[in-house]
Amino acid sequence: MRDKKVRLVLAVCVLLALVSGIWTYLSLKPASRDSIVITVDGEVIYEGSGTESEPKRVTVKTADGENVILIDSIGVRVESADCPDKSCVRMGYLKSANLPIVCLPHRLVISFGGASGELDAVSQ
Amino acid sequence: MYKRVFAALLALMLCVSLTGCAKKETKSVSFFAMDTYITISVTCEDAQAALDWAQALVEANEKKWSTTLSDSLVSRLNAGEKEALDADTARLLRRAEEMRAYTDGAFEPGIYPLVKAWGFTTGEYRVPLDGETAELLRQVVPDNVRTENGETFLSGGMIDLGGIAKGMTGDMLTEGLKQRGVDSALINLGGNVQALGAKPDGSAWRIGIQSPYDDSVMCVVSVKNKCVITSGAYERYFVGEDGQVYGHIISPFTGRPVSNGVASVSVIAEEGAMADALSTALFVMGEQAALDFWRAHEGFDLVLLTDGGTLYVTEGIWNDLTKRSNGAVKQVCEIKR
Repeated sequence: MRDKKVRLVLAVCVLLALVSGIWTYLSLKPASRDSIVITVDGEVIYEGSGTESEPKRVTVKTADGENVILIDSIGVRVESADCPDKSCVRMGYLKSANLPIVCLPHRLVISFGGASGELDAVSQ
Repeated sequence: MYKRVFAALLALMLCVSLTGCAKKETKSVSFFAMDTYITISVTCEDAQAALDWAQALVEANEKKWSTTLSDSLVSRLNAGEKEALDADTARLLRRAEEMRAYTDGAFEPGIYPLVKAWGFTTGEYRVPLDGETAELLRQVVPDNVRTENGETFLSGGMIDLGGIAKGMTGDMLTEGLKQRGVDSALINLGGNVQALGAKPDGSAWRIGIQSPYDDSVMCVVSVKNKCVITSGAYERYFVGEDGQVYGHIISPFTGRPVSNGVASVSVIAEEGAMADALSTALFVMGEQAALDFWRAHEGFDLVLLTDGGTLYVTEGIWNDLTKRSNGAVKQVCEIKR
């Protein structure tokens, strides 16, 4: 009987410690990565929010062709492209920081900018 | 039994209290001082106290080092008075003279009579006649600060610390904030950007470098614990009656605004005072001399844009630079030692 009570109290303690640990982790974690960066051949051509309440289209024209990028309330994806394989269109929405949307023929990359997607200051 | 339960509860309370307090916060302050717009952002436990201290320091430095305030310490020295210097001003004057010698006079604190004659201190711009320029050049007295019996005075000429005071202020801010337990801060003194540590999430600060021709950003450098300080004639200039554009950086060698094919120079270094003085000096030197100077000296990196649109980037910052689609830049070249 005594042992049971002690075990119960210890279990509650462990549970509370876990909850407080998780709460601390969440409160100290950096803000979610919600900005995106679009580059062509390594050159940044667009930086901005990863979601838009009103759908926004960014048309990227290069010497090799054209991609229309859609940013809406869900996220960012390539809506249409005139590249031969259309794998960029098939990738759908950008999901992971480690897996950017790439259009190889047009050397286009769409990735999460994360917290570092925007500039912190401008030297002038 | 109850003792054990009590002990367990006590341990739990301790655990919760340890995780609950000492939370860091990010705060920033913006204000006008030192003839520019200043923003300081810090992340620490008592951010407001750190910001209050920082703003007070900037305002105190302005009161001492400004040439536009007639009762500043520097203005009094320029008026021929003898002054007992505080430690910070002594340090600034010493560093200014060191940078003058380091750059063979391309950074010249004694330039003030010329800056004044061209109207850059008052806004009443004018182009001095050639004879007047020659006379003004004679009024530029290098290494003119003397101290005797604890009193400091100028042996001749005048001084203008505008090309180094903001950089030194940035150094004093980062040092003082560090002592106050701040390990992440970004100081923007009107485009002189100085970073303490990394961003609160541990990543590098992303600092854009402005195109000399408009408000657009021509490239982005990622830095930790470094400053990015840019000089270019585009910041302040006037158009003369002859239709020519005259920039605010005056060459101590010719007595006229610098016009040598360099559009802007950014210096990336740990020390703000050095980067501030160097960005002006390298702009005065011109394209080839500036790149040669970088090859011959250590401790800083350069991003230099020519009027022709070539962006030179030295090897130390090459991998941390992202170019932007921008009409000002026609080609990018890495410069190696």
